[in-house]
Amino acid sequence: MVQFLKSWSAAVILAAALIAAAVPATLRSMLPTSTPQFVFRETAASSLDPVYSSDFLPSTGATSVHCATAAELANGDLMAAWYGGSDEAAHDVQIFTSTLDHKTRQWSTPAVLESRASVERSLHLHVKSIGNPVLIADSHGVSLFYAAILFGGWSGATICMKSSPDGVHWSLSHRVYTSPFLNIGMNVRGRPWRYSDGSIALPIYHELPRKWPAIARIDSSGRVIDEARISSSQALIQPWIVPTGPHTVVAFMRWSSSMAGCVTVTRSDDAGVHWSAIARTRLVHRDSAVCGTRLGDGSLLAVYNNSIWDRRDLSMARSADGGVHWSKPHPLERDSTPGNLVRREYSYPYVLQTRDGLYHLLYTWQRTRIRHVVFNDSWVLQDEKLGNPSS
Amino acid sequence: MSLVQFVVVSSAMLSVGPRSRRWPSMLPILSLLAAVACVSIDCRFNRTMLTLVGIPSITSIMIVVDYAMARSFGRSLLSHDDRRLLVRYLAVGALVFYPSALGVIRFDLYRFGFNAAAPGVLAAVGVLLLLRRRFGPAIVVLLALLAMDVRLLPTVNAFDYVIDPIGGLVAIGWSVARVTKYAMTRLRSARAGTTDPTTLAPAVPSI
Repeated sequence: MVQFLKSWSAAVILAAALIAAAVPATLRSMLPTSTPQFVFRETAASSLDPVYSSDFLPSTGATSVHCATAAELANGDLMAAWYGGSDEAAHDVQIFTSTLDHKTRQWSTPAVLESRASVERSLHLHVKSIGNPVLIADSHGVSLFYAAILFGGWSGATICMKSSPDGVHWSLSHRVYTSPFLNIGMNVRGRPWRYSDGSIALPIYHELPRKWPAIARIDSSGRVIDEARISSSQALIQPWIVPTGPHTVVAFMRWSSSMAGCVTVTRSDDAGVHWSAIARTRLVHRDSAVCGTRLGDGSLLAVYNNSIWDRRDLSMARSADGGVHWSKPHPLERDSTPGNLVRREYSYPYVLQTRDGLYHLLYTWQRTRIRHVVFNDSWVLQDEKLGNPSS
Repeated sequence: MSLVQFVVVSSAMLSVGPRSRRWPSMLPILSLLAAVACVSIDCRFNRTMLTLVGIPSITSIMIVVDYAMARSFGRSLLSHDDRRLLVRYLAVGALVFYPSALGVIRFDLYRFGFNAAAPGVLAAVGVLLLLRRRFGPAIVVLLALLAMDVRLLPTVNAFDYVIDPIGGLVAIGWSVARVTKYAMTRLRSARAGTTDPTTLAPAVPSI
């Protein structure tokens, strides 16, 4: 066989076959690498009167709940998901969902969307725990991304995905191939956004062994077709992207270090394909999640833990110049109660705007409940601190 | 993916078996066992093994399958030199690629695997191998490209088709063992006072 092949005619045929075999893969790669653009809609104007209300998502009975996410369904309902169990990364952690009826304003009874056992059955892999769900919903349907821990802690996680046409009937989970090293070390937490070609911009981050944030572009079949590393010079994780136009986007990142740090930002003018250098902001925090949104007037609103010590202070700040200068923080939660019997933590904010112009903010409340806050542009602008971003 | 894992496991089982004429007749039984182990048995051990092994690259699959064929049937596509070249490539490739892909060094090599030029670069490497009369490795490159065309693996990144961490780790281990054995042989020869270079053959079994 080898002797036969060692002839020039065979070499020419093989060379032709190599070139021909490269053509389909090249053509397939060329199509999605055209510069993407976000499905960007100008924010709708809500009531001129300030709106602010808060409630809790229904209890699941789990000892510990964390990391809420939400997405607006096609019918206007708001679907929320979070994880809960005996503790973070425990074997009994499940991902719960509940839906806010846009007419009755009532949350549905929480349902288990995914558990460790069901993920093991779907993936045919050993799974230690699950967590960090993020939802995206639009005319394409609903998709859920989450992390499944295969080894050790969060650094041994892999990203999984399942989808549904209506938020009721779901496919089985499958792994999203984001890392060449056994596809582990990757995690997800930030809000995904849709590109105009139907692909998804999914903020992801790596923790094995170095920490760095990235944006994965995922096609409709759940395959990663591009992966842009945002930075690898500092220990930054949990990127949160805020499109400010079809091509322009700002990303906030969590400063992941035992030392006190600050919220960092970076920008992209080509919808996340290339990123600017990392810039530090005045927003101090230490190793806690940050989220943000674009307000109706084009300014940015960030929600973060305004403390270099713990997660007892959850605040908002507003920037009118794209994240360079920020207003004084407006506290949403500020808990100075002494003692550690209760885990006084207000963390992992997740904000989105629905089509009626209202902003929905979900966050972990003392690790026992998920709090849901609703506000509008007028409430932000009339606030003494947030209304004056240059203060 | 189950098919890929089935091929790898059955070939690996054949590779570690004894070299005998009756061995090929065991192929259907071993293949069946491997298929059952990979696909049907939903046990914790199987899940853990699949989690640890991950997705093999076409290069690793070809080395294992070809080695199994050589042992079982006495026929192979790759010569000893070809196999050695591929193992060396896997070892060096893993040492260069994974530090970059995991962020240990800042340059992100993995992203180039998504680039439209990546399949063309692979084809060019294949043609270069042909010009150097290395037909076996060129066929491995061709198979990797064909696997990309049919999306055999759950990834579109070209690197995932030509390199994998387990294959890289085994190749590094093999290379280190080979170099160590060669060094030990030289050391022993030097102590014995041998100066004839023809006695310094590595005497390391080929893969």
